[in-house]
Amino acid sequence: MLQKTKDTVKKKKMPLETKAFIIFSCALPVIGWLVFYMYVNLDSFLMAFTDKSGVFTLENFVRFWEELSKPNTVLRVAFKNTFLTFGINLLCFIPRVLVSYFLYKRVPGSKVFRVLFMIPAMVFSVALNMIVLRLLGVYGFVAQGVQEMMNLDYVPELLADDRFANITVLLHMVWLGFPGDLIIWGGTFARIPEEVLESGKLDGVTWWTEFTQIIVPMVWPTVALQLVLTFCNVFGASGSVFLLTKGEFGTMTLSAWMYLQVYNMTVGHSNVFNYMSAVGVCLTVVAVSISLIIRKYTDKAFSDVEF
Amino acid sequence: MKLFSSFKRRSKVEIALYCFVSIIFAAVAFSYLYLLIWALLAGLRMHTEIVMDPFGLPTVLNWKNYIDVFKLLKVGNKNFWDMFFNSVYFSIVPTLIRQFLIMTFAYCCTRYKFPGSTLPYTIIMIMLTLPLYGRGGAQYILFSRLNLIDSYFYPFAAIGDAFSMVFLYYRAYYINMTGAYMEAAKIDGAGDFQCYFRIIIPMTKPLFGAMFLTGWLGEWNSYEGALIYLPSLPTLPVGIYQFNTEMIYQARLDILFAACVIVAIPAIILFTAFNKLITTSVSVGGLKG
Repeated sequence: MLQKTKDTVKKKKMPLETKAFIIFSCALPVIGWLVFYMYVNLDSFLMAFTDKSGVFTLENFVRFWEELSKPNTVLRVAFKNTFLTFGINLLCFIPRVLVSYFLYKRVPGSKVFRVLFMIPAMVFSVALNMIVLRLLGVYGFVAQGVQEMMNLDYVPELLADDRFANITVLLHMVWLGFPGDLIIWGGTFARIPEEVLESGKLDGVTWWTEFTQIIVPMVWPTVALQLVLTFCNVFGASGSVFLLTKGEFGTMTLSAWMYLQVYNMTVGHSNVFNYMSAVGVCLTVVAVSISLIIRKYTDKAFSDVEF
Repeated sequence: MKLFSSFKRRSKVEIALYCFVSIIFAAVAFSYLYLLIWALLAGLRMHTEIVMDPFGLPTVLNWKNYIDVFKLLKVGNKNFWDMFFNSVYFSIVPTLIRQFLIMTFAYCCTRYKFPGSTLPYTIIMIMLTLPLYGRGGAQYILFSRLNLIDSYFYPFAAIGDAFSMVFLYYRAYYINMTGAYMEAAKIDGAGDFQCYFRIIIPMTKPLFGAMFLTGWLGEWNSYEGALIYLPSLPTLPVGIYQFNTEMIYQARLDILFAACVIVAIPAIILFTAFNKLITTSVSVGGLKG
C-alpha cells in the first residue's frame, strides 16, 4: 500500500499551468542572462586573443605586460591607485558599519542624520561633483587652507596638480562614502529582535558587552558576506575619478581606465576594445585567485550566511 | 526632549559616547547639507558674482535663474523638458522591467521545485564572488548590433540583470514568507498565475517598493550608461555634464547650479518620504542565532 502511494507521488505530473508559470517566470531572465552576460563575457574573452580584424594574436597581452613593466605608465598608476582605493575602502568598512549601528541605536538626531546621510545618494553625482569642483577651486577655503598649511606661495589647484589630485580624490571618496551602505546595514540591524536586547538589558549587560557579545555575533554573517564581496571586487575600487579629473594628474584607477576606453571610443577616439579585453582577462585571473583564497579562509564565516 | 529619548536607561559612558558620535555625525551631515545650500544660493546669484566670489552671499536674489533653467539648460537641440522626459523614461522603464522580472524569477525559483530551480542562486554566488572584468567593449559592440544605442529600446537590456544581488533580497524575503495564504487560495481553486498576481505581489509590496525606489534612484542619478549609450537622448545628469563642458563658450554657472538644485528635488522628496521603508525593508546575509 505504502509502495503504491510512493509510486503515485513519484508519477504525479506537474500541472500544465504550473509548467506555464515556471516558463513565464524563468524564460526572459535566462535569455537575458545568456545574451547580456554570458555572450558578452565570452565575446570579451575572445576579443582579448584577437586584433581589430579578428585574427588570433597575443599582442594585447604583450602590450599589457610591457605597459606594466615600464615605470609611470597610465596602467601602472591605475593599479597603484586601485589598490590604494581598495585599502582605504577596507579601512573604512568598520566605521561605515558603525554609522548604521549608531543610527539604529538612535543617537540624538538620528532621524535627521538618516535623511541627510542619503544626500550623496540622492543628488546626481554629476551635480554633486560640479559643486565639489567649485568648492575645491583656488577661491575655495579648502585650497587656501592647504596653501597655509603647507606654506606654499600659491593657492594649489587641488584637482589639477599631481601632488594633490590623488589624495583629494581619495579624501572626497572617504567623505562622501562616510555613511556607508545605509540600506543594507539599516535592514540588517532592524532585523535584530528587540527581545534579545531587552533580555540582555534586564541581565544588566553594558553597552560594550551588548555590542561585542550580542550584536556583532548576530550580524556577523552579513559582515562576512560584505567583506568577501569587497575583496572580490578589488579591481572595481574607484572614487569619482571620471567626474573629478578624468583620470589625469595621477588619479587613474582601473575601473576609470576601462570606462574611459569605452567613452573615448564614443567620442571618436581610438578603439582599444581588444586591448581592454586582454587587460580584463588578466584582472579576472588575479581577482578569481584572490577570491578563491578569501573564500577558503572565510569558509567558516561564509557557511553561516543565509541569503 | 524627544531628541534625547535614546538616553533613557543608559549609562553615563553610553550617553557620552552617543553625544560624541552625534557631534561627528552632525559635522558630516552639515558638510553634505552645505553642498546643497551652497548650490541653492549659487543658483540665486549672477554668474559673475559666483566667479568673483564663490563663497559670498547673493546681493540680489535672482529667483529668475530657477525659471530660466527650463529655457536655457540646452544640450544640442534638446531642452530641459526633453531631458526630463528622457530621465523619467530611462529611469522608470528599466527599473520596472528589472524589478518585476527578478521578483517573479526569485519567487518561482524559491517556491517551486523543478530541475534547475537552485541553479540561479549558485550562479549568482559565483558571479558575485568571481567578478569578470573588461566586458565594456564587448557590451558596446553587442548594444550597437542590437540597435540599442540611442534608442528608446535601450532599457530593455535590463532583462540581462536578473542574475544579480537583487535576486538574493527577494529570495530571502520569499524563503521567510508564510505559505498559508497560498495553500488556502489553492484549496479555493486559484491557479499559479492567480496566486502570484493576487496574493504574492501584494504581499511583496514593501520589498518591491524599497527595491524599486533604490533602483529608480540609481538610474535617475546615473550618468555612466547614458553618456555612452544615449548620446542623442541625453538625460538630466548627462545634460548637466555636457552643459558644464560646453560652458567654455557661454558661461552660466548660475543656471548650472540652479539646475543642480532643481533636479535633486524629486529624489529628495521621495527619499525623505520613504526613508524608513527603504532602510528597513532590505536585508541580505541573514542573522545568526
